[in-house]
Amino acid sequence: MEYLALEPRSQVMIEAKNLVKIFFVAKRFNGSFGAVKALFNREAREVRAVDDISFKIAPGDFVGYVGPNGAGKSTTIKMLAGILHPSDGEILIGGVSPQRHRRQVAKNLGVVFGQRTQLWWDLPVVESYELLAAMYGVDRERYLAAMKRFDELLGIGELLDVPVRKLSLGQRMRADIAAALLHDPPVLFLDEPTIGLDVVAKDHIRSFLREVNARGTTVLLTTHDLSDIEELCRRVMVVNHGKLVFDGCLDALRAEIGVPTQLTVDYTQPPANGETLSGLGFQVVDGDRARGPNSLTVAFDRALISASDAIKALGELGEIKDVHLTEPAIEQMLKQLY
Amino acid sequence: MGGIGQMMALYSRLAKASIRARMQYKANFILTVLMDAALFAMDFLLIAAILYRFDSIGGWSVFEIGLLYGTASMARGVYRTFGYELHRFESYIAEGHFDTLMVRPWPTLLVLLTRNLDPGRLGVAAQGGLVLGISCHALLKAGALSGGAMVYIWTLPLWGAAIFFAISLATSASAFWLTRIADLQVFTMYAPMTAASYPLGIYPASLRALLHTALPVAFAGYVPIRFLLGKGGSAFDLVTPVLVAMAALYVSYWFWRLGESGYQSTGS
Repeated sequence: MEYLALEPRSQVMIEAKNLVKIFFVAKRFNGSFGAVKALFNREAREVRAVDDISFKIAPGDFVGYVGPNGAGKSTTIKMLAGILHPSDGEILIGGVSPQRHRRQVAKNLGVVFGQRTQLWWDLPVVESYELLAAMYGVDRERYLAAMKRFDELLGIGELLDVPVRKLSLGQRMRADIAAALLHDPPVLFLDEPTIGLDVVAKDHIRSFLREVNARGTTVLLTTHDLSDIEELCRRVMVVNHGKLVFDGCLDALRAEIGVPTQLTVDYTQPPANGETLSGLGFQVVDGDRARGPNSLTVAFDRALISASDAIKALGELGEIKDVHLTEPAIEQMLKQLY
Repeated sequence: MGGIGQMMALYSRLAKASIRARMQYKANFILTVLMDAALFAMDFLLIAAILYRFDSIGGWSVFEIGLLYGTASMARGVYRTFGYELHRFESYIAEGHFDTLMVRPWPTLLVLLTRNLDPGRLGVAAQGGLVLGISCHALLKAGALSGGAMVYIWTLPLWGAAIFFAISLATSASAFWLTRIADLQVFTMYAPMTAASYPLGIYPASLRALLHTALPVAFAGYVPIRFLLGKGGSAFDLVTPVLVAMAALYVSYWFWRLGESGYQSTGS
């Protein structure tokens, strides 16, 4: 397998420069002749699915790409993979444009669409792998090594003789991910790989993806399941209305939005009045009174107050029996961004 | 990766796999072959009945029409066998499956065509061959056709299949803009392929013009056979099937590439 001619000291595997994708959606007309009217009316509504997005991803990085439905996630991935042409801007994968050199870039890409299998529907799984090996020029030795690895990590062996149409969703996703990695591409794009899967199947796939990334594969993952991001990604990019609204590590995301950490303390008896706490930068959360009179929940900003200082301050109010620290869930944080 | 030889090797490998996949549904395969045979037989019985009543259509006898009918059917069978997936291309665009062709390091058309082949259609080609054989034999005996002419006629289905394929490719490519093309296919594929089975002289001038230009099925059989049977035209007509097939393939593939570069995909 020939790899992309990367610059020797290149720190960039994937680069998007001022990416724009505009779709023209035909205007709809109501009424019984609506369809006829639409046929003769050239008016189209302009939708900016991706609106001036730029980023660079280093080799070996694991990046989560999140956003609400219709935010432009899939459109971005499709442009990166050479499926769609951007309306403006440029993409370089290992220094090569997937628009101008689609086939060259495709050799070095693994792509998984969660809702769309790339396997041969009516054939046993192993036949798909053999065809893909032929398609990507994977020789016998490397093919067998890859199969052994996929069996150890994904349990592919038990699926090999089963026609794809008879696989469960979780099995199919494992088979699909293995298929995308058969030619050991330096770059992997995953579009919703855990969609519809149960917890066990998700775990299985996540640990495999961690191993793939540890081998040096650059991974870009779009997902609805934010626990994917929390467990896998070092960096997260948040897109909304076609624009990149955040790009950084998870901790930075927490800091930027300043969603407070919550601390719940159970006392041996009802605590003293916490009025003084607000002066110290705490906010008493009312919602948790349900835990009973012996509990108190406060919210605070980790950037300003450390957890141990927080516990110390609450210890002033009574004898502590137990403490629970809740980091803000990524869902909550993102809601503030959208 | 990417030389013509490698493409042919990959094509044959993928095509064999898709035939294996198709054979998973043997009953359906056999049914298709039988249905095609029944439809074809009814079709030809109809012409035979008309000819029995009138002797000739537009000045062409039953065996002369048999030449047109046989070559067109063979061309159609070959095209449908290899171009089966082009016929279903609408679903690739409407449902976004085209995405999965774009991520392969090969021309999208190569990957598309190998997703499904329909060898059952070779049955139609065989029946067309039967009609062609009988017609050739009768015309040879009557002295209406030379041996050389007969050999030439047997090469026509190849160029005819290429012309049908090109028209189908261009029609499918228009799905990049139109998305839905089933109705267009009736107009550009079914109608012209049927029209090519009869002497084009029986059609109105405007339709004849169309079948000589934008939908050039006239060159799949009618134009060269008309000359061979001494019904007009010139010796140059004999090279037109090759020239038209090449030009049509070139233009339609260019159109396909144009559509591909403007592919819009679907939502996730």
